[in-house]
Amino acid sequence: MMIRKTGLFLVVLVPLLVGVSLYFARNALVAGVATLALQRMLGTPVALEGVDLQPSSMRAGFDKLRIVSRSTPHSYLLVAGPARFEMNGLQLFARKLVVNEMRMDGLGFGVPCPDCPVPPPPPPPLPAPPGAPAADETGGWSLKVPLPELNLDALEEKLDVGRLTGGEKLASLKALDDAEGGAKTRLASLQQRQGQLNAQPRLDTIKKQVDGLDFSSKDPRKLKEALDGVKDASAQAKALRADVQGLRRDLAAEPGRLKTDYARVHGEVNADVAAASRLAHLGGLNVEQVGALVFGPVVLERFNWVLAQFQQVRAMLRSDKQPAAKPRRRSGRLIGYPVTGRAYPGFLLETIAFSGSTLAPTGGEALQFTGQLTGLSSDAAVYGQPMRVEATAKNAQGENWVIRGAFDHRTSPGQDTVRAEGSGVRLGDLKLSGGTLPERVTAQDADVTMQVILNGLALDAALEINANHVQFGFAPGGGTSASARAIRDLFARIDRVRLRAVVGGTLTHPRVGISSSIDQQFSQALKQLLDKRRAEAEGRIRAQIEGQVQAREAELNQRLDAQRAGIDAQMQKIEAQVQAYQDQLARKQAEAEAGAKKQGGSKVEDLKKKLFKR
Amino acid sequence: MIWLKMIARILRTLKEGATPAQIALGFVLGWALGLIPGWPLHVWLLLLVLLVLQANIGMAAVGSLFAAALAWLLDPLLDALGAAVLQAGALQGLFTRLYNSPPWALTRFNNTVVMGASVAAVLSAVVLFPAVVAGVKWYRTRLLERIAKWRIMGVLKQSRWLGWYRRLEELGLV
Repeated sequence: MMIRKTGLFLVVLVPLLVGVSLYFARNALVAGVATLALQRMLGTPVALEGVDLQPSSMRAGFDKLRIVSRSTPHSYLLVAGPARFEMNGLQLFARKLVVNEMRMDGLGFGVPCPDCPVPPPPPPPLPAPPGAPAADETGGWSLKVPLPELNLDALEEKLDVGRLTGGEKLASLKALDDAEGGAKTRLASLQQRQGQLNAQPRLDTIKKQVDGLDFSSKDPRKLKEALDGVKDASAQAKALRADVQGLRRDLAAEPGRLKTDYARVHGEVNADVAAASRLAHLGGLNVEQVGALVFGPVVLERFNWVLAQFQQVRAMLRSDKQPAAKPRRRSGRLIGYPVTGRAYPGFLLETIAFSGSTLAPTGGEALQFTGQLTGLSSDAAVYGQPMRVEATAKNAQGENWVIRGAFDHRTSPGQDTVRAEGSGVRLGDLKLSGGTLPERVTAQDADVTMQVILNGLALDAALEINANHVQFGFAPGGGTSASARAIRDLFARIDRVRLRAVVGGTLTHPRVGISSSIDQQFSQALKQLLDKRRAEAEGRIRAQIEGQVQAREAELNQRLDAQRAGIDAQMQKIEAQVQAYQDQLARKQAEAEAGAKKQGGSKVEDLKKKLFKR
Repeated sequence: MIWLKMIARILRTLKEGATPAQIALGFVLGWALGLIPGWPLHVWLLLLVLLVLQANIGMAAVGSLFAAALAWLLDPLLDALGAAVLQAGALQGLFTRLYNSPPWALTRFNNTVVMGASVAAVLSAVVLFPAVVAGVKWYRTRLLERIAKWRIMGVLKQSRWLGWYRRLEELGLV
């Protein structure tokens, strides 16, 4: 078989040309590829300058890396450089990027960049794993914890229950409507029964029977008929009286039933007072709530910031293992074998030594930090070690920080731990709840300890701040009431604050507890003041609600009493008439008995015995 | 027309020019290239052999087309064959060593279809190479005259496109 000269020429020349071109263009090529990869990964513009790749030693470096922030416009997320690193060339054959060692200086975060392009909007959040918290509108995790609220001005102002409830009918008035409806139904039923009595026709029948009684005859047969008439009329009168008395009894029970309904109405009055107080933010305070009331927003802000970093780290530590998809035709399957040597994940940065500085806060000094990050890998299970970070930071003003973190994702669901300890920390303007309470706090010298452990979604976090030379600031127009002035005086006397916040539960259902030395120092004074004012305000709300209920109740009573009295009067009249007929019947019977005695007739006596023996 | 041109070229190759061994080598190499998916290291080596040795490139293209179509149809079989080889007990030691040596990752040897297709290519080459050599010889001695009488050959010879192509070929432009 002959050698094809053209082919040989191509086989030798083409790779040679490609190799030489690649060698000379390597730096630009690597910079381009790396920039593109980083931009795709982070979704934000990236600039990489001064790339230097030495293929023989597999060493590389760059002068400056700038990553534009996607969340904060016109600022860099990260600025770094110069940096030098050493790669594992052999692993490149296996398409694995393994950086054995890296040294990165000049690290800075949030550096302003006025000319930076506005980054594209963030992509829609990834579907959350089962049970994981849904990403909020900012695409990040955040603790959704309701904090206590207190409207001190509401303690002073005239509270309008109608405005507080947004015009919605009070539950007590609704209960009163029910009571009125019940009473009306019952009275209507009594009125119906009254109609069904047919009292007048029955009275007329009795009257007719009474008037028709004649004991003057000497005919025993007629006398017997008259006595039968007495018996019949008596029975009818008795039945009518029983009916009337039953109806009157039910009528007499009506006030008792109404009283039961009113008791329910008064129960609803208490509920209405509590609801309106809640709407006016007059909640009764306990000691822990004072801390949450004052420091809640700043504590949640700090925890949320740390959780956002955790979320980014977790996204970065994503596994090499892609979700199993149905293999395409001709794509085949990969068969794995035992790893006899050292196993490497697809991407590994074994050690990064870094240094840099933070932005200088207003009126303060920037922190200079150094640290080391180990085990940044795309598959911690393969690498076999968690990612660890250790850093120290300090500035000329004596502020010192030690930060340690471990992000262990060797097994699912993974545990992330970060502990930061700071001393001599100059707390800037920390935003507080505001309103009548302080809107900011500054401290010149504070010791801060924060620890956050996130095991899967279970959260165990604590923040402790011991701050000296504390100054609280109030909004210029916030609160002019006596309570607000008293609160300002109380806060003005505070020089030291010790704050402890703990978060437990899960990311989706967190439990937050905040306690502070404010609670011990003067919570009682604050509580007494607030409780007194709150009780007064609550009293005003109660008076309004009870006023409305009592007015309705009185009007209802008046109406129902009148209705009841009308029915009762009619019943009384009927009963009186029945009584009169019964008296008349008794009289006539007595007369008949007297007449019979005079006649001495044994037949009549016998008849009488028969008639009246019952 | 492109098809007619291709058929004409194939027939011309079979008729004259290249030796039966060159034709068979081209076909077998093309067959292997078509059978193995993607661009693992050994595919590049096969390509290099195809370019350096005087194997017939036209027949390599034909072999590659046939093999690619067949490989698509036989994918489950190639996958099963590859899996059987990769999981064969006797070869575990060898494959474990290769797996732990990063440069071998370039061959994608642990992919079932790559391994199956590679094994199938080697096995089929043993049969295909002598078969193609014998076939070309038989074609040239027995079949050529009969085919020349086919009506399609007349159409091909009179084809305007083929005339142009021949002219360009004479001028050395193709």
